[in-house]
Amino acid sequence: MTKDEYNKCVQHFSDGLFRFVLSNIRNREMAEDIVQDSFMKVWERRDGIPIDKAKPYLFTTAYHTMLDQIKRKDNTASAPEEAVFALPEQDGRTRYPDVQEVLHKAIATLPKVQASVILLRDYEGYSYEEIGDITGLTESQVKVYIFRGRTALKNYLKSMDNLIDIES
Amino acid sequence: MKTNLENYEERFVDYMEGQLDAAEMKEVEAFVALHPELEEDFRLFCSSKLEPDTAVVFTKKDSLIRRKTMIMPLYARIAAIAASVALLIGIGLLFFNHDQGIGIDKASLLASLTSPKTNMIHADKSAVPTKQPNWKAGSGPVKEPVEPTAQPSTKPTVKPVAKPTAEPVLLAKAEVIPTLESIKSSSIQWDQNTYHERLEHRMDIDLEQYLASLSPIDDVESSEDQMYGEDETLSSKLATSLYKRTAKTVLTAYYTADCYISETRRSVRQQVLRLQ
Repeated sequence: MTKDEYNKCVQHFSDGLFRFVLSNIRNREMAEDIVQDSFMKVWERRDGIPIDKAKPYLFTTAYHTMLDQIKRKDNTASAPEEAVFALPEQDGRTRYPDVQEVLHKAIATLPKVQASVILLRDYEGYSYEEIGDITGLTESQVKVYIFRGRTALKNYLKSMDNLIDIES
Repeated sequence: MKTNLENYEERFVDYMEGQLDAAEMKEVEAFVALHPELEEDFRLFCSSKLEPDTAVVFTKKDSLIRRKTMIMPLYARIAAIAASVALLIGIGLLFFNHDQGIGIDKASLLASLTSPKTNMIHADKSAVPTKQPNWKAGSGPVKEPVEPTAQPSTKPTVKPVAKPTAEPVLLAKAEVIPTLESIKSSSIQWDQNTYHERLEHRMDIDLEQYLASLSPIDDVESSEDQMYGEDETLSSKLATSLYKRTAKTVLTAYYTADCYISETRRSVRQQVLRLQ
């Protein structure tokens, strides 16, 4: 990968990578550090990384760096969590969140592996096989994690539906 | 695989994940139609796809972008620093001498150093009243120096306009280049002014020879790509070029300082003689 190709990777992939990491760990500062570390590693190994492998390499690096940091910080228990979607008030009344806001709250409650495979699937459109390459899981494992994650999200949405029905 | 009450969640997930073909999708939709109590689950599964918020962006891209920078080898940096120091010394000497009020033509002197062939030092020296025939009155008759044309002891005190071409003529006739050794060994027989003029002439020659010994400074292209430091050959050429420039600057500063010292001595000597 040349320097120009690397710079294009920064322009094209840094936002998606940042959103993927932020949605997982919900801490902006940590997410920025992980993105910077990932690009640093790509830069250092750029001679051995063809341009078409740069994006999976970035996500693989970010995913494992993220898991390492989560382990080190004990699931970021002490780190302040940051909402990926804000829930602002309108006219003094709390508005009801839309489905995406609820889903992003729900994804934070999932185990990190489940959350990661669903985010890779939904945000980046990776196939099960590609997700397996990034996460180190087999394709069937990816399918199982996605099923469990979808079921958890469905149940979360269902509980929110019930909550809204009660409040209204 | 048919959808049933045992596997409907798995089938719903496959449906929303796009893992089913058209026929399988119709089969799932038909199953939901038959089981309206599962319609909400089916709808919620289909709604569980996350969409990225594009308003969330990584704001530190600039810190990741690799820009073209110049990487100088260590020896090139040392050479650059040495050149800077030499330049500062030269400038410092200029101002120091200026503050001392020594009436010499610095511009001509510098020009002569950077262009030794012009002999401007000597032309300018002729414009300075330097000769004091009685300065070495106690030394008796002064012998002729090595070169027959040099007659310092008999040279009267002259005004600048009186003999403007005296020194260049002298130098033109002096085919034998004086060496530092010959100048020093014979200096006791000379008028002191002539001694210093000879010495400076020798310095001019040294400088000219040294500069001539330098190969032309390579005209290295310095486009950003080339100066990025990935081309070792180019880096070496740059370093060599810098070294030559530094050597030239240092030598020029050295000779400038030395000539100023000579001029200072001469000036002081003249003042002393005038006072006497």
